Amino acid sequence: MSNSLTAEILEVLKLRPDQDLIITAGNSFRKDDGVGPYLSQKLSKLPQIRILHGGDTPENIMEEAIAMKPSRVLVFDAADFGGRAGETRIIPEHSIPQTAYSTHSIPLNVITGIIAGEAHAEVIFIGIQPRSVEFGEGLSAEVKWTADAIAEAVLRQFSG
Amino acid sequence: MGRNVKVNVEYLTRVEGHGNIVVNVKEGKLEECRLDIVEAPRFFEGMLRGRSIFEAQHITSRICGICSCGHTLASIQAAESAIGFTPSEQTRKLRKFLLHLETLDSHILHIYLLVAPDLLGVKSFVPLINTHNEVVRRALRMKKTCNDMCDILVGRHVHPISCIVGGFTKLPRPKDLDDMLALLRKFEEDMKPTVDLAATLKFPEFQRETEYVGLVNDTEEYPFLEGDVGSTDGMRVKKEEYRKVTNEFVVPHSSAKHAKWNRSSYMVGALARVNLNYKKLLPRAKALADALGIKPVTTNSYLNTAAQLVECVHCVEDGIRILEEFKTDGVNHGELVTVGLNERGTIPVKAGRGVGAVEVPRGILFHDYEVDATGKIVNANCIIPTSQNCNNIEHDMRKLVPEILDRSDEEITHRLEMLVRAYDPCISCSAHFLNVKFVNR
Repeated sequence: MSNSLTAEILEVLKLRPDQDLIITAGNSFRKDDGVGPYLSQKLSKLPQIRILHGGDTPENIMEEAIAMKPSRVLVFDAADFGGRAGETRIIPEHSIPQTAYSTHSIPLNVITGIIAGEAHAEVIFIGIQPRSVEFGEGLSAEVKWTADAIAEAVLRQFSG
Repeated sequence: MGRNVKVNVEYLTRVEGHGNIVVNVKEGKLEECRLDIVEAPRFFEGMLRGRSIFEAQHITSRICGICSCGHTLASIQAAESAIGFTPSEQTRKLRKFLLHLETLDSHILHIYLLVAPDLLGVKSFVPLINTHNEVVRRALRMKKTCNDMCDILVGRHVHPISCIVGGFTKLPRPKDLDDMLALLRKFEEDMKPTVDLAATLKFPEFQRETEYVGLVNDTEEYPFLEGDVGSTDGMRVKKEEYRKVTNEFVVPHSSAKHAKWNRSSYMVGALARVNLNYKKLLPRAKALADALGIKPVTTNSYLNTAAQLVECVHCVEDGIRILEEFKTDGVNHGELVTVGLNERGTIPVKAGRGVGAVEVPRGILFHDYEVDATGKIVNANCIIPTSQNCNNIEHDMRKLVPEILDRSDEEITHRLEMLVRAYDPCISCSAHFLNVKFVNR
């Protein structure tokens, strides 16, 4: 695989357990959109890490996230930024559209914006380029490799 | 001679799905006024053919993420009617409670996130995060509370798992009842500032007489789950005769069929229900309706949102009553339906036809199944509230536009958008809908 994590991403992944909160988002029934739930499952094994899975209703973990008073929130989600499948990027908050909402869906960055405001937290969006977000289960090999690499980079900090 | 104005707004926001408003006024005369529904049909009826009635509710709940419980319940009702199965009183009560949760969830999101920005003079609820932070957090908190109760009752906050033909595969234990009651009381607390906020909101003036259609019954109960189909014009038919009500017809500009009964169009939804069943509202809901100026027959479509608020108060009160009754009387776990037993003949199956008619947040929903002797669906028909409302929305627009022609293009467009939003349309589900195009006025 050619999607090794960049130095920028590896730097962001250096966690401060008492200050950081990880939020994952996504739907595991939409192929690579399941990267968030996949990461959540892997990282939840670490008791030192504060992690909340927002699924496709991130508004439902908002109050819990605010109550945790994080100073930094790392948000992991599949994001189509036109990169190679499995590529990771820090997504500028302003580039995420806030307009496409209805009673059926509320944009993730609107929710993280409220969390950031209430908790005075820095929010960093880490986008993982999907190969496909069509209906179906299972991650593509590229996205799974990247998710495993992210999990490994985090787990390594707390092993031994 | 009136002036000519050209307005073209691409996509109406704060509705579910895509549709266009097209208005053409030339020299002061309204020449064209349409609500184009541009979403592709989704063929759910086709998907149901050849499938067992015992899995139909899991398929049809996917028609809508907001009304998934409503579709589940309409589907189950149609299936049970088709095979002649009568659900127990306990099952009916739990289903009513489930429907209340969905009504609360949907109405609260519509009132707070989709309509309130118009009435507070902002383009979306996003600016409200800074100006009305507690309001936005309250709205999202109330939504989550509904989701959490749904999770406890039917296994998931969307697309219920345990609510099936015959009853429930999981029944609430005493702790579940306590947890749901605590959550609903928390929701009730949040209803107080919600009602206070609503009292400060000013809905646009507009009047147009139309026919209001919804469930009616002969009991004291405000009907959501069971009843005949009635109208404010005094008509009443059995649910099986719903085609006499909907009289669907195709129009070239819409992938949603239009409907009409005794007049050129009719309206379904919260305002229709309150107009039809005002006397059956619980006391606090009725008092709120009076305070908001809603009495039968209220003919201002914008007040559909206010009627939704009235229904929220009703559903909370009734929901607490249901839970408290269960706490007192207990839940009979002997009624538990085991997954898979249905298919092995626990519930006798026979050929027949059944209709489900359920009041979901946006209005009356019909599911109609024809079932063969093995319980396989051979024919299905689903009629969604938004598609029933499209024709009435167009008639409202035709009345409204000439009345506001002295306003600016921007104001006219905004009032039209607000009008459509008041119906809380679910375009994807109707698909069978918004951008506003004015060509000359």
